[in-house]
Amino acid sequence: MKQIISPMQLAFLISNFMFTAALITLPQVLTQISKQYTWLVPIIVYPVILLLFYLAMGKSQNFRHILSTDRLTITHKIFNILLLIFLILIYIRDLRAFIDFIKSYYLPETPIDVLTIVLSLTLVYVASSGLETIARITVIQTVVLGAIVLLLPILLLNEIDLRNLTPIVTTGTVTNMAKSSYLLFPWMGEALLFLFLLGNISMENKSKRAITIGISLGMLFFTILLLLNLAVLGEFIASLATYPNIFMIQEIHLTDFLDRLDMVIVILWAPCLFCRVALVLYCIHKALSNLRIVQTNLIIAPIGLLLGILAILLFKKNTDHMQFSFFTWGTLGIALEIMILGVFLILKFKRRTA
Amino acid sequence: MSGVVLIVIILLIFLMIQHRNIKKNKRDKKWVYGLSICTFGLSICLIVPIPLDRVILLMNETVGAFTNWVVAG
Repeated sequence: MKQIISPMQLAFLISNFMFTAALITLPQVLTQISKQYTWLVPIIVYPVILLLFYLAMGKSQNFRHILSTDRLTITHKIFNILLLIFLILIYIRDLRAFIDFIKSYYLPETPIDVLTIVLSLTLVYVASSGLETIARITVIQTVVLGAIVLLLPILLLNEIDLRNLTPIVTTGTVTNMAKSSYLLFPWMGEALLFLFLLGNISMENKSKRAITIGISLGMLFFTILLLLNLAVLGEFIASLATYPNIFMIQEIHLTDFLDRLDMVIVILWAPCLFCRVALVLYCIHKALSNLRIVQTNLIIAPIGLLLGILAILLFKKNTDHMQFSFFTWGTLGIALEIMILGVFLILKFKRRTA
Repeated sequence: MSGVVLIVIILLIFLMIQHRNIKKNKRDKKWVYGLSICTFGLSICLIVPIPLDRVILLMNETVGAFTNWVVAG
């Protein structure tokens, strides 16, 4: 049965996809490079991502036709293989980031393999339910998390020190922001995955608007978090802390009794990240079935477990994972995203001329 | 060790429950069983140290070093 989502669900899926994983450790490396003006970096990346989407979508409104695999051509195969590599890398990276976060903050005594298997099982369960279920869970969770992110400036009003954000323009500002943009771009560009899901939208004529809203919301949430990181913690602490956002929300002190809101916020953020990773797993399955490798969704369970084990085995230490996420993904992500976009444009051109 | 035991139990339960569904499609059967065996094989690596992390280390040393050069340059 074809899974169909509404444009509103697409918008929330995109915004959730763009900021839930990037907020874990990325602000640290961005702050190390572009200091107190890091919060301006998403403003540079935002138009580029939007432009790429507009370039990919063009005036066409029949995406079902472009991505239809009734006749599996070489270009379709290349598109699906590239997407498969891209998705597998994202899945392994995000799952490991989540496991490392839980292990270092909440369950330090639990073995990493047990954590991975339990999380993988949950992801398999959610991904097997299909795109519609993932979209419904995402909408509920993202609305709540988004409201909390928007409320954070008020909750942290007594901790914000605007002097931490100055001076905005110093020597090397432009160069440093360009370098940070290079690292941020592949993370935000992961949203290009939604080109793959354009055929699953109920009202295709509204998909461009939904994508614009989704990207704008995702960028807005990420910018608010970066801004608050710097304003509350200052550039020095934000560039040293592995998880600056958790430090930042720990600073919330509403009277004397409401001072451990960080647990509540993490509980709300975790399902959002779950939805993101489950969506990636669902798309891995979709890419495999587009390649005519499998048809049923029974394959999701062994794939989920296999990738879960790879998430443990491929990164011996947490530092290897950080190095991969910050630096290797910077170039690898950009290369894969450009290739995916290129092949998508070729597909579109071929369908138009056919 | 706990990881391997868990994986084996989960895979066995999964294959037992879905046995009838898997049998229906010949091509899917091959992939589901094949991937289950691969998963079991990889889970052995949780006990026996096979340096799979070298793949990522190699990527970090090449692609990661390039990004580092771009960012530091």
